[in-house]
Amino acid sequence: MKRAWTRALATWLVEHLTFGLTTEALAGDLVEEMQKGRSAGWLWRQVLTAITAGLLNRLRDSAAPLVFCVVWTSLYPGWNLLCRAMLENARPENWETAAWPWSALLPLSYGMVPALAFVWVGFRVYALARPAVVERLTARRVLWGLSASLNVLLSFTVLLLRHFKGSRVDLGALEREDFYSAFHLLWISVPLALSLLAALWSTTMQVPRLGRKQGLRPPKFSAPPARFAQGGPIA
Amino acid sequence: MRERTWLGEFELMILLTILRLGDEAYGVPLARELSAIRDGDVSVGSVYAALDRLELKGLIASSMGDPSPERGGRAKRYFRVTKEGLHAVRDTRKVLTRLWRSLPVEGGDVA
Repeated sequence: MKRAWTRALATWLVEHLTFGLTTEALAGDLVEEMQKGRSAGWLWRQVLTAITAGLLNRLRDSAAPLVFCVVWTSLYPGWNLLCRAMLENARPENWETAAWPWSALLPLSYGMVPALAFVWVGFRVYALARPAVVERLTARRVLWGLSASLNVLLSFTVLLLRHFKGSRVDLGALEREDFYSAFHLLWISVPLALSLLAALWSTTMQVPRLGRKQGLRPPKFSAPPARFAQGGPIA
Repeated sequence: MRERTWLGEFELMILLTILRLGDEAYGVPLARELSAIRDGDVSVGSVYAALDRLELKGLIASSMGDPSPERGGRAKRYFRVTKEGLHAVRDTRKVLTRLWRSLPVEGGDVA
């Protein structure tokens, strides 16, 4: 009874905490080995190793995008200043006298346009720096990634605005200069980094395709093991 | 031009063991074979973690077998080495051989 309960708990942990793509097969392997008389100690060692190895795999996959997001976001003050000059040059004089709601949206564009462009340029730079990522990109994945980044950027910006509402930010009196203040540049880095991370994760998440679905027979190999003993395909 | 992939020690061992096992290459036999060859315990979990990485790199491919009652209704996942995987094994072998041969006394001190 206790043995069955232990096995059920161990397989549940493997199936839910290993983060891998092979959880079902791994749990099945452990059950099969237990049927052959392995001890509970052996089972728990396997479970702990599987969870740790899965976590390390996940951390390794996330490390590069995470570091890139932090480094890229640190460049935002320079980017914002560059955009400031460009936006001012591109601004037609009649924007100043535009009717509502354009008059209200104009100041926002000084904050949102550079931020969005910054995230999307960052995404492009990351993809260019890693050719293996570009190979996996499809138009659908890029659209999905950019949409995710936009949503994250807007959501976290709104959350920040709500957090500072009344104390540091007056939403009704936002001005162009507010987007170049040290306060803005410091706090906007959080939504920016998260937005870029969302774009990178949602587009570069690697999911291998299984060759066959359940219920089909295992694959047949063209080269039998005996060939390898003579150094066959790798000689 | 083909992009070269360099293999870690454990990854290389796993690829060679998959080749060695042929049709029977799934988690438990792989871990058992590696334990026997390395003369030390290799956990199934660490083998699967490496298999995940290799599959994401495109060096191996997998397919599911039939679910069976002795596995609690779960299917086995069989692995095979892809063409890219074979290239990676060959490249790694070439580099390692060159390094061994470049030692002052061939294999002398480390043999």
